[in-house]
Amino acid sequence: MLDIQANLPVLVVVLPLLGGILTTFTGRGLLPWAWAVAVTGTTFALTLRLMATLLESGAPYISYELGNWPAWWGIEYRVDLLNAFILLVVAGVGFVTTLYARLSVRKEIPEDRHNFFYAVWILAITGLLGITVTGDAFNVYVLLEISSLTVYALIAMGKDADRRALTAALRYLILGSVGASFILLGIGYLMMVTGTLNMEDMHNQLLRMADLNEHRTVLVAFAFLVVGLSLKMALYPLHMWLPKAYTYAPSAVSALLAATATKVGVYMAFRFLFGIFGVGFSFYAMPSHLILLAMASLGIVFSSLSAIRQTNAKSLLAYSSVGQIGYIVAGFSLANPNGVAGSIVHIFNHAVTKGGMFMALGAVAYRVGGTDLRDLRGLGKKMPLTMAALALGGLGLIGMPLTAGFVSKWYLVKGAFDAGMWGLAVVVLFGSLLALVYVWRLIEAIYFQEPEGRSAEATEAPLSMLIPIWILIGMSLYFGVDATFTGETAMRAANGLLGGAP
Amino acid sequence: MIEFPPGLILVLGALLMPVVGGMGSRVLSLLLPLATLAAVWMVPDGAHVTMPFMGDMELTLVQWNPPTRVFATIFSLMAFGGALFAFNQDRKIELPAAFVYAGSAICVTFAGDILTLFLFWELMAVGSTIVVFSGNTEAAGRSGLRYAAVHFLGGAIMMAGIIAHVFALKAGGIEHPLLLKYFQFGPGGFDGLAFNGAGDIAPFLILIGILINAATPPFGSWLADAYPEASESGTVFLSAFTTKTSVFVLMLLFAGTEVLIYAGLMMAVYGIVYAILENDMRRILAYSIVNQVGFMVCGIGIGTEMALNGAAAHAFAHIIYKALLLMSAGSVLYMTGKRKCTDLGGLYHTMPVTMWCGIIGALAISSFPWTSGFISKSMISQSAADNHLMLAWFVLTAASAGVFLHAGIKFPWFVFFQKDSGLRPPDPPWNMKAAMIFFAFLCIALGIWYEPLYAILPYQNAAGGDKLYEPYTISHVISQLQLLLWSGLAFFLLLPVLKRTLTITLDFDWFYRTFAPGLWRHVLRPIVVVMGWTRDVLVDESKGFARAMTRADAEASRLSLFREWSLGSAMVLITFMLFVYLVVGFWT
Amino acid sequence: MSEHKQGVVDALREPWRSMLDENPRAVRGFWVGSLVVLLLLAFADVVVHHHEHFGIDGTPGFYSLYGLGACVVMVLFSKFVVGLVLKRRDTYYDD
Repeated sequence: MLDIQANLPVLVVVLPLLGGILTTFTGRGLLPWAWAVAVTGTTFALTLRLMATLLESGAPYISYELGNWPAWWGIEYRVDLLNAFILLVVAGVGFVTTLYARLSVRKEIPEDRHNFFYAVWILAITGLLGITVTGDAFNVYVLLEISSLTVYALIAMGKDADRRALTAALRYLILGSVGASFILLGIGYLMMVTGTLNMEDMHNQLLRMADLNEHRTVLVAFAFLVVGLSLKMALYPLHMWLPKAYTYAPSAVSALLAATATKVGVYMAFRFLFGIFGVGFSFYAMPSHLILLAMASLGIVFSSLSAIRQTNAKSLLAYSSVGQIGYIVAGFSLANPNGVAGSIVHIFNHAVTKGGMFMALGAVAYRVGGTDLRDLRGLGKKMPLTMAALALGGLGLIGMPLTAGFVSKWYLVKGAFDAGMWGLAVVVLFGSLLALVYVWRLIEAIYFQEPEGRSAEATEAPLSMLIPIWILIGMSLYFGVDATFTGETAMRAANGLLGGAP
Repeated sequence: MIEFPPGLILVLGALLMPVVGGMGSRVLSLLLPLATLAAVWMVPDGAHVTMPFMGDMELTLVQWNPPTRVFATIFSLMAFGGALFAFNQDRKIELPAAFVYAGSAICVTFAGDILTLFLFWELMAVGSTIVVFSGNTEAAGRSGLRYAAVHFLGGAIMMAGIIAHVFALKAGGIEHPLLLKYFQFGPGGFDGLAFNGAGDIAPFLILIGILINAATPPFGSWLADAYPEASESGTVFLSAFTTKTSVFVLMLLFAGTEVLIYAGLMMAVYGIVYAILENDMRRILAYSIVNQVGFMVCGIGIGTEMALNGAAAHAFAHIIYKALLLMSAGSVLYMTGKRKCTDLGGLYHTMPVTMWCGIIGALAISSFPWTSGFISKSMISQSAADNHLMLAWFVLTAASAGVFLHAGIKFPWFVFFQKDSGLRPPDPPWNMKAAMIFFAFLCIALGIWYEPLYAILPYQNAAGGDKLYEPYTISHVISQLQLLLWSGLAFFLLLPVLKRTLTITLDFDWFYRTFAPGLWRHVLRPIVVVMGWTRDVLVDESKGFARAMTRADAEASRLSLFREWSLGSAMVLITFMLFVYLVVGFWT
Repeated sequence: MSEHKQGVVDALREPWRSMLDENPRAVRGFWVGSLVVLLLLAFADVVVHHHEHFGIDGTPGFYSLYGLGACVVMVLFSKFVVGLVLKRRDTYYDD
């Protein structure tokens, strides 16, 4: 009998991997969706179990050696508080969006491709989970390719609703491949220098080098990795693939991507910058934190300004996501406990908030047929529950107290003060004001204009959509009031990262 | 016993109201404020309720601060009066939002630490913004957005100050730096204007944050901008909580700060000058809020126990008569649909109840003997005199005369008398009348039986003897009547000059309503456009200089900064970023 | 001289016109009563002594004259200084 408990770290990847492949054989009708729910649900349960095991054991991490090969030869999966937390976010949001996807997918994607869609969908989640759980640098690249390729396919499947999804997917494919190959190059140079692919080993080898800070190969590796990762997490100004991709992807895909894809990019940045290169190299020897902070601040301001200018609600949220990535990057670039914790907490908070908001827009697309701001007019009366969720999510983006967004910003501002960066605190608060403006544009359309054209016939979203929407939005409110779990976990994970453990 | 902040009854009850709906929610709207009032009084004397927050912090949700009882009591009473006045209206969102607003104001008064205070402070901003929006006109929507922007900016400034101070405290080795006692800056907070570190700027930021909410010019123009745009009942609620909560917080944190004396005097005069020029009846009353809050702020600046008692008592009295005045104006608006003095007049014919209640409110705001204003405001002037603050005393006395002029006579005169507008509306529905009569009764009752109010004032040993303060001396009554009635004579003599005109008076909000958009349109945007051109010229060589310069206007005004990146330029950018990291890496 | 004086009285009567038309006795009564009360109050200082804090405020008649004077100054200041600079049509922001 397979010992589930002992094999948890690998099961969270293997189970959805097999489950995803099997989805292709589920035929038509309800079955592909039901199977996907079962697979993602079980995976989510496994990640919960994993978190519980980790917390119970009290150990700093759980290590799992694939095929019992020793870590430095084989592949090691290693789960500490940080990635257990990210796993929870990815698997949790993955499960909720799958629950939500049924009607939205039925409307936006032809039925004969549902099995294929859900197969790719589950594989994308698998890739993201895999990146998060592995402790092997090359394995990161492999799983990154799995998740990227599947995501390109998922975006392209928006083509039946809007042909522009194809160009958006192509654009992402090209830029994403550049990013991925930069990451591969970086990993390759690192292996050249250290002779290993295991992350912890790499870190130890790097530390042993006396001339680390002048070592040209390490510097080149670092440059390639940072740029590649910036692309993957859509850090301004390397975000150019994101707005179109989020806008034209099928609604459920937008929600999944917005909540998880860039967040896993950020997680990779954690692992590489803090875990492998170490704080001393990444942030003190290299002034990269200054560049990252500058990009993050520019991102917060300019993408919020762009968000204000959008006429499509999905693009508006997409640009807002670029801005929110700015907050996350700014947080960890500070390299102090409060900043990094703010960053980690915001990964979670933004995932639930933005995921919920994109799902609400999906419900609009389902009932009204489009997500232009014009289509939102007067929906406050027609779809009160969906729109209330959207508006509450919007308050979270602004960072209003009693929403999760406030908690993140609290940590970020604290971190900025710790580092003596007054300017950043100002940028964060100014960003909130800009967010107020673009959220206002949504609220104005929803509550202060009369329904017109096709939005006049809209009715409340079906329950199967409303429940997942409110699960996420409800969480963003709950964790705004009681942030004990998220705050403490993030704080401990941040201290772990800053301690230098990979 | 009560183990939770009493304000939560209103906040949570408000969420229940839309669910219950119909008659049930109307009954709730009257019961909730009364339940809150009872709960406020049932909180035991030594109450101290805490809650863990975000892991390492502890919020103190309930604690008696010295002025808590006065403010929590009047806030609950006000919620009841406002709900009664709004009983017949059927806007679904307004009343729940107003209750969230009122409830969080009550929670602020019970806060024992700065974070709790701030959280509910922001919740008030959310609730009040919705109340403004519920005016449900386009003007209300625009005004509400400006209102929200100003308040969240104020909140951000205050939060920055709080965090800066918390860090200064932590650096000083203090274990619980959130407790309110570390934020009581008082007169010492501004001694030694040396900027040694982040902590030193904190009191200023916090003070500015509070003064924005207290509507101190030049931060105060949001008040006269937004309040008259809310609905009849919405304005009644709005008038009570935001500025008075600021008075409460100022009293707690900044008692005795000298600069507040001058801020208060400026507010008192500003309110009068602008009210004299104003034509919209509810905006006249809005300006007079600023004027009255000026008295309170000045009292807080004086900072003696009697002055603080005066400010607290005046806040209590002010909430009642100001609500009464706005109810009277609201009834007129409700029955006639008109809000400009130029359109009104002669309503005494058919609206006697509204008129008499308005006059009682007007007498109370002017501090006529035997009204509530008399027994509260005089404490502030008296402390100015006792402390030999000559400028303060003369300005306050002139302002007292001016109040009668701009609010005491001007409002009733132009609305109910003067020329006959030909309008013959009846008095408003019973619940509006009931609310007005109830508050009019309170105005007079407080003027005569002031002891119960004095008994809950924050500093019971202020005078040292057994009597806190004696408002009714012959000299005081006579001098007050002289001051007021002779200023009344000035009003009637100057009536020809005071003729109503169809005008507004520019205020600081001009800077963000006209100046800033103009700056953007005529100065900044051209610069951005030119910068965009320049970038096109530099980056996009193929298009050529000439074409960039001769481009059609419409095309040029599509800001190039925000255009979609082409794949090619994206690649250039990626390479450039790589280059940057490499160069930086090799150089250091 | 008399014409000019006539002008002032007319200007003072103007705001009361519609009420004068309706009930002239009440208006006259109000004016006469008010003037009597005002004079009585002004001369009350002969009997009532005010405690002085700043020297001038104990002078008989101080409060009456200060109230009248302060109001005249404030009205003229708002009308002819503030009003001249800052007054706009009430559609100013709508355009």
